[in-house]
Amino acid sequence: MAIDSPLLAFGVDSIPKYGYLNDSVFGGSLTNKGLFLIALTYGFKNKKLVADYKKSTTGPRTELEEQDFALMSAIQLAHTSDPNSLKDIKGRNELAQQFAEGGIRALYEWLMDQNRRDPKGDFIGLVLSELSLDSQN
Amino acid sequence: MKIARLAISNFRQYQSVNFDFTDYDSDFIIISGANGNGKTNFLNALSWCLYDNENFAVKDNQNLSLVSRDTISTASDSEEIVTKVGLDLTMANGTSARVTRIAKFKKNNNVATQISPSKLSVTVLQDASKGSSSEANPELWIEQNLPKRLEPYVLFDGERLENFFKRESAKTVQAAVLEIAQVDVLRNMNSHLEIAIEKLRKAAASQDSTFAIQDASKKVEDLNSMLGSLTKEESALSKQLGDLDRNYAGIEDAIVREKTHVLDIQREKNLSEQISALEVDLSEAWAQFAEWSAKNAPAIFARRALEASLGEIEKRHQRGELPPPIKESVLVGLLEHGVCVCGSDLHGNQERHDHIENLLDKNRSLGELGAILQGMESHLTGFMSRLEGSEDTRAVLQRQIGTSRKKHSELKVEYEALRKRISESASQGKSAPLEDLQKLMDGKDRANLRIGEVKSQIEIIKSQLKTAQTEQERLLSKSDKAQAQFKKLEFAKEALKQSQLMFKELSDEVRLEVQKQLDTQFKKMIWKQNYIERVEIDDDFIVSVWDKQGFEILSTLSAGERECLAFAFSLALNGISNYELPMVIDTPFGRMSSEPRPNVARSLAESTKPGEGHETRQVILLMTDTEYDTAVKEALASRKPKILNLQFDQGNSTVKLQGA
Repeated sequence: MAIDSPLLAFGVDSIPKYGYLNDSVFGGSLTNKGLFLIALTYGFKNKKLVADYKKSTTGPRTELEEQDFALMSAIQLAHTSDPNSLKDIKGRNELAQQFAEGGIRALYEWLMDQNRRDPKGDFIGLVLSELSLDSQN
Repeated sequence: MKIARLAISNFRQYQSVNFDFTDYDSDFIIISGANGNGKTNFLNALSWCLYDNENFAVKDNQNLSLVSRDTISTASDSEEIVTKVGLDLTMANGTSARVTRIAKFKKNNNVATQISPSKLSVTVLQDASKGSSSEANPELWIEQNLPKRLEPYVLFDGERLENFFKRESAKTVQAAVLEIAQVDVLRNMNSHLEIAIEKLRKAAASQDSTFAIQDASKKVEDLNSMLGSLTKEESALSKQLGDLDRNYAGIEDAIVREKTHVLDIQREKNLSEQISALEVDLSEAWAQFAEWSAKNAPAIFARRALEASLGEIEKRHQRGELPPPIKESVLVGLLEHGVCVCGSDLHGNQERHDHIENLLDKNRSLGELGAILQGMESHLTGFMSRLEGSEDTRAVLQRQIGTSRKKHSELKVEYEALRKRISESASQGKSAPLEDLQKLMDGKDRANLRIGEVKSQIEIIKSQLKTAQTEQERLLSKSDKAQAQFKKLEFAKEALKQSQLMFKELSDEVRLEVQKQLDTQFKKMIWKQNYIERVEIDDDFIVSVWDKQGFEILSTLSAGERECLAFAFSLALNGISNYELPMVIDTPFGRMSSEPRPNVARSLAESTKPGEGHETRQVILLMTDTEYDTAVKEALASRKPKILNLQFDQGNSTVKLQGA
């Protein structure tokens, strides 16, 4: 079941970064939801939690699906280490949004690195290196 | 021989200037000055003093009065003005000589008119004990010590050297080489012998006045002359064929290069297409890989969270707290229809019936947390399976990109090397070897045809000559009086033949030595050493320059390159001469670009240093400040040059000298 969600409203300051990132790294091909999930998981992986930001009311929105909420719950459980926290749906949504905000900022910073010559290729490298780290673990 | 002093009075812009080079340690002197400050007239003063001419004056100035304008303006009307140039020379044998030329002028209406021919005097100082003596025939002294024929190899105007080696100057080149090597004595002797032979022949013929002998002698003479011309033509044609064969080798190389060039261009096109196709494939593979990475990134980044949640769920399954994720409506349906998902009849299998009822009870009593975890399970499992399922795609894409990139890189290396070769080949210019070959073959055909004709004519003339000589001898043998004269004639002829042979051997030896030194010196000076193959002076003393492709390129040399060739020739002559002549060069680098200047300067400095069998050659360079740049300064530094500066005083219109 698709649910219209306000979760994709990144911080006001992050809205332009969102578009620039999508164009530079993904050739503008990612949906709002796709970019939100990447930002969320990247923020989680790098422990980038940003609580203090002004939420946009006009930012990009899309529909999240059940599997996306399941991913958000998994992150909530990993973050709190308390299964009971899963009952706090509002807290889950808030946490996901804070990780997504942290993730989008961190990705933007990564993109702006002065040595960044090939953002598309480098992002593939980033994903692959994470994969090889996982396989080593 | 060195120039010790030069004193110039009332000559052109020189009112009274004394150049004294005896005080200097160095025989390398640089006289610098801006244009119009009197550098060229330094050269003209030397030329006028020695030979009564001004070879270096520009045409417009040749008719001007020699007298300095300032002297004319300050002289009173009808006053006599004396123009004088005194040149002190130190000779190689230690003696010294003063050469002075004086011309007298009278001022009338602000014009100085020469009132008598210029007068030359030479005073020679053998040594201090013997004192000096005035030469009775100063012109002869000049002819013996610094003949006018050698002037082109002593006094140079750097801006006028580009015509130095025109083909018609071969005779001048020959005269200079033979004169300077003193082989011309033999040639003069041969000329005298030829005149003597002619006289003897006439005398012999006159001893017997019969027309028959005179006719026979004339016929032999004419046939000999024709034979000489034809033999010379045959030799020239053989040389031409030799040159053409040499060019043939060059053209063959050019054809091979041309073929390689064409193949290279085809390969370049082919490579370029392969590289483009590979780039398209790579771009598509990269796009697919980018899509894969964007799709799988969330699961990969959040893998730790997914595994932690699935671990929690699995733990609860094992403790029996969490039933398998089967929806309640499905379990109710199974009980109502009495059939299990495995097909068993639930009515006949109480144990299975109870199990499903148990599952239904557990589902109903799961609670909020259990429902959440159960809801999560299938989605999280889905994430993990999709990630593992896409592993093959990733490996294929990664391998494909790796292989393509390696191939792309290899092709690029080959492509760049090929482009470099094509570019180098194109920069060598000239690429019509097949046309050149056709021209060359035509030239060879013509030369072979003519050589055949000439050989056959030679045979005919030889046969006619033999008949004529037999007839001449028959007639002469009848005349006793003529016989005595003919014996002398035969002896003189034999002497001439031997002397001519000796002259040929000596002049060849000298020519080849000059050629060797010219080749070495020119290659030292020139900045395109890799382009020049050799410099030749042929039997007729025609100078030619050959490039590596086998083409004669004298006519295509730049003005600067021709100037280098002229300097190289002078240095080569110096190498074989006994004169040890000084070298005075005006504007040596004026026509040269900046690249060759240091080479030429260094070569001038090195080649005139003292060497085996000869002393230092004195060099005087007249240069502008622009010519005497940093690179030239560095190149000449080894000779520690003495630098003098010519200043033109505009107020007095006269030149002053300053030690710099």
